[in-house]
Amino acid sequence: MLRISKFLKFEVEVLVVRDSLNEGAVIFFHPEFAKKIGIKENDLVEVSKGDKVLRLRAKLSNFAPENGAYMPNNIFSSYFTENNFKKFKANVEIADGKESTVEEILDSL
Amino acid sequence: MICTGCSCLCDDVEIRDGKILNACYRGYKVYSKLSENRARALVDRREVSVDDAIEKAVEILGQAKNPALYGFDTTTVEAQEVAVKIAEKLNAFIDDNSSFCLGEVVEAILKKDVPSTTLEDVRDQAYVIFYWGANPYSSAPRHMSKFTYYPRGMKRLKGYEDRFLVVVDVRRSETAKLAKKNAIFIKVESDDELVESFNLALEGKAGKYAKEVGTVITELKRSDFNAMFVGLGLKYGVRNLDGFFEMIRKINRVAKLYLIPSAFHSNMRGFNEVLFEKTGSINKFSFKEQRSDKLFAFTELLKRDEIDAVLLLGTDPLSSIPFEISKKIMRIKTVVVDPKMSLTAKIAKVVVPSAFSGFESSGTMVRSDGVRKRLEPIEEKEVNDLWILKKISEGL
Ligand code: SF4
Repeated sequence: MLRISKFLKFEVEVLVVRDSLNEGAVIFFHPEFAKKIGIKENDLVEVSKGDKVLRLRAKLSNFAPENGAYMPNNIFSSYFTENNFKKFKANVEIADGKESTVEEILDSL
Repeated sequence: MICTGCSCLCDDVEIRDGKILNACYRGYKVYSKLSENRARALVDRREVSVDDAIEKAVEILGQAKNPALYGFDTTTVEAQEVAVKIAEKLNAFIDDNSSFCLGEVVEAILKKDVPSTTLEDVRDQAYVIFYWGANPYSSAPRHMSKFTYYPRGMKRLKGYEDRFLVVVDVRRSETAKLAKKNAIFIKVESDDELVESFNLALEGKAGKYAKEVGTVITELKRSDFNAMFVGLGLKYGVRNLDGFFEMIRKINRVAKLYLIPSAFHSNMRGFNEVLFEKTGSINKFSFKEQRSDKLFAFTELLKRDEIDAVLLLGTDPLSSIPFEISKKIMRIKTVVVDPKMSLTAKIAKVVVPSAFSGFESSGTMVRSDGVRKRLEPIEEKEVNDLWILKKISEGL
């Protein structure tokens, strides 16, 4: 079935939080918000900010901000943060392929 | 054994028949993965002996024009003292994670700008338990069960039934979800607006959160012992913390409210106390200029390309600070001392493998509330942070 949301891009505010249980290339959306922007659990999403792009696995969590998302504090979230280490805005859209890896980020150095 | 998984430094964790007892999932994770991804002694990514790696580290630091030392929040007070001596010897910059974590809160407490207390007193006496921008569920999972909300205490015989919980956050976190009976969750868009609402309420005026603030002040007044725990959500939610501290002092004119930082790395407070004792500053200190300045924060030094070498101990900037800043580490000579092959270790010039403080080496750490704890490791490894730093210091 064709997913309209596949062609849409949303600007989302992402909080960076300590999350000892979840690591890696993941981003958490509130279920209601995810529904609104057409994202389902385990979708691969492309998160972009300026020329920075990562592919992350989308997860749903009631603990996520109601109109945004959160990411665990790690190299994937640090990739996007600037002066405010704990919050950034980025575009999100559904993507194909595989999650970005730490090596890809390190290779960009 | 003392768990060094976070700044709670829980003293009842046991290892029996290979099983880890009493630790939370965070402590369990640290301990169960102790042997994974251990660091190896490396120079230019080639394996060398520990002695050779230390020799190279000494050479790099000794020859640097503008060296910095950074990290030290997961090591012992004894190792932190040697690190400060090295920084002094090198006329170097020294800083730790507290410069972008809860350093200002520790500083306000050390300077006695705000009242503080111990976690044992909170357990025994505190009525209102107030978490602002903190989610201990994730950062210090036993905080509420061992010290604050749930346990029974001398004056709180019914545990949480004898307490009132306040949670402030921008999202309904795991901790916020616990705010049901005898509790209030205040969901804020701006922490500054809530600070303003408290200030206005104390002057008899109404702000945006007048109703919620009214409830909290009424509850605070019901007891002579209340405690607030603040986290990074507050630090990054307010424009500056001075206004927040002023609010705490104002509240204390009508009700007793003690302030404690919620949680951070196991011995961040130890670093702040060691440097404070030596210099009167808690972080971002330049021994060359004999002063602390926000421009001397490690992240600022990197941004401005001000340093040519750095000694990193027990910290992984590539994971924890913005990538545009941390990637500049590639341009300087980096020495990493760490038990694990961290991401930063992977790109460092020199890696010196160390032991896990608390599990594999002894010493002292300072809990989030300032109480000192003697570590009781399950084994004592000779090559630990203190040994390595002493060798570097001797070499210099
Ligand atoms: S709360 Fe912190 S110190 Fe206590 S067991 Fe968990 S990780 Fe270890």
